[in-house]
Amino acid sequence: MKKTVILGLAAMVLLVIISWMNAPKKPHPIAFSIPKGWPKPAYDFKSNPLTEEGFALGKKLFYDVRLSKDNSISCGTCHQQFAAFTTFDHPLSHGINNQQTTRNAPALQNLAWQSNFMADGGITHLDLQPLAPITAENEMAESLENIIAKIKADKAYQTMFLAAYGDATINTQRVGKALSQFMLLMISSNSKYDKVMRGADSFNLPEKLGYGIFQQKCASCHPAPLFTDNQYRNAGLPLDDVLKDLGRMRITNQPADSLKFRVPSLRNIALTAPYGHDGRFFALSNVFEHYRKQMVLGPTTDPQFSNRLPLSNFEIGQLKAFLNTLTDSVFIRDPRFSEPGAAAGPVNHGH
Amino acid sequence: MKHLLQYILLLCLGLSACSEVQAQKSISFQHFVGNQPLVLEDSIKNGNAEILVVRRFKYYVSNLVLIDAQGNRQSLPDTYYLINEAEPNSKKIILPNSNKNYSAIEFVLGVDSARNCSGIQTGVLDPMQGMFWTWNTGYVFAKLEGSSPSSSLPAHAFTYHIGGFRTGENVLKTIRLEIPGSSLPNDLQVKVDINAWFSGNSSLLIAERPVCHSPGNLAMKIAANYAQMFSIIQP
Repeated sequence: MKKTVILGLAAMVLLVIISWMNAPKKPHPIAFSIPKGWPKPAYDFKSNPLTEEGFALGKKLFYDVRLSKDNSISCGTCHQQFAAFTTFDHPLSHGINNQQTTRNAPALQNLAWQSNFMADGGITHLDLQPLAPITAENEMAESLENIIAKIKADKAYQTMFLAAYGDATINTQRVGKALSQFMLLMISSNSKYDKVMRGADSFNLPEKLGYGIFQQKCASCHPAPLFTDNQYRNAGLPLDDVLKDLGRMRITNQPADSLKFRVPSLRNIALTAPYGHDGRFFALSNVFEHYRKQMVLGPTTDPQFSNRLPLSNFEIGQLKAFLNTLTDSVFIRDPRFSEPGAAAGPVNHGH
Repeated sequence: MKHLLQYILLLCLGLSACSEVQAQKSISFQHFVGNQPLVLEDSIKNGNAEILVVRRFKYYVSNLVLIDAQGNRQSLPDTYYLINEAEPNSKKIILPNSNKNYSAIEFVLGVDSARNCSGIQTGVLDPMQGMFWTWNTGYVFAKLEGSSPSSSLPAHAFTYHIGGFRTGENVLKTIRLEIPGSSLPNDLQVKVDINAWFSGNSSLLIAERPVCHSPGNLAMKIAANYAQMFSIIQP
């Protein structure tokens, strides 16, 4: 009897040791630090705890061209780090088979503080957002089924999913969560503006004057620290007769939302030309001309623009100086977010 | 020691034998067009005398509740079912073992707003199932696709993708079906008549509206129609 008990105990200990040896190593947590003075993030980190392994998987997915139908386009193709993750110098980005997108690629930054995505806010969760460009016929045009099949067939991915999630299951949810982990850490909070606010730097005269004008004329829709109020507004951009993009109304079906688009963040604005939801403004000068002269006032135009936005040439000059302080050169060179093996700086991507 | 093991073994056997006595009950969804069983790719005529061929017919059933004669409600665990005409196994929902009797069943046709708003789901709710709008977050609750000579679209196609969970465009429908004789049969047969899509509260002519691809007024009209498509087949 006693012998049986001892043998049984020994077997149990052995089993525990074996299972401990076979158990996958626990992923290493990454702490998400909120820049000082910033609001609480909108993203629910409890549902997707950040880990080094999850981040690494997200990065591999972000730069993997196999997420497109003909294996030619990755997320990073249209979201280039040196351009604050917009498409450098493109009003509209390129999809497969020489197609064009219908909207200007937005900067990817500070996404943890955003709860609706796309220029029309149609997507309600960061995890879901990548599914739109991946499946859109004029963008990456791939089916979720095919993507999961391509990933499952890749040994490197099998190992990475195991490391990130503790088991080897590969599904849409885990792809979305890993991509979110990578994008959530894209925090831009190290511009000259931020350093000035932290007391580590100071504005020169034009920057200082520009900051004053900004606070008076721009900050109601572009408030710090995110430089967007995350609302949908009609800033007087008339309907493009080819794209016929009604913006927020496409989602809500409400005529009151016609021609309203997400207020973009102005962080890294010097790097994200062209401007506007469809990239119609070639340079910042065009944006200012629009605001002071060309704005088309319609029934849904933001009431703040009833008199357009009067700006003198002098004010525009100072505003430009201030807006340049929102460029975060640490963020756009941060190797954590760089395409593996890619050269820093503009690259030729096919034309 | 030996005796103890034998005793446990006997107990296990006994328990499994007991559970076999309880009948495994289920609900089966049978798809029809009027009184004709639905056959995918077969030409049929709907209640509006429009000829059509159905290629896809799928819908979500969730929040299943069994209700007894006293009105006590037994909610089934948080489970979602994607009923798909093309997958016979999907058309049968296995109920948890119970000796109780029930007089009605209730379920939601669609996916509640919580699941629409909490990121990517798994299993039958995986967006990979093709029942999800990626550009305007939300599930397609019910999908009916095919072709009809009445349709003016390329290939005479018609596609109805019905969904919407937001206020003002909500098409979540709670369906309640009374069980005849208040006695739940081993396999409750639920008739699902596609005709209801076209001729419920308001008539839907394929010739006039061959497409519905987003939440809104048309989706609400069609959902009000198809909420009437369920009935129980008398055993």
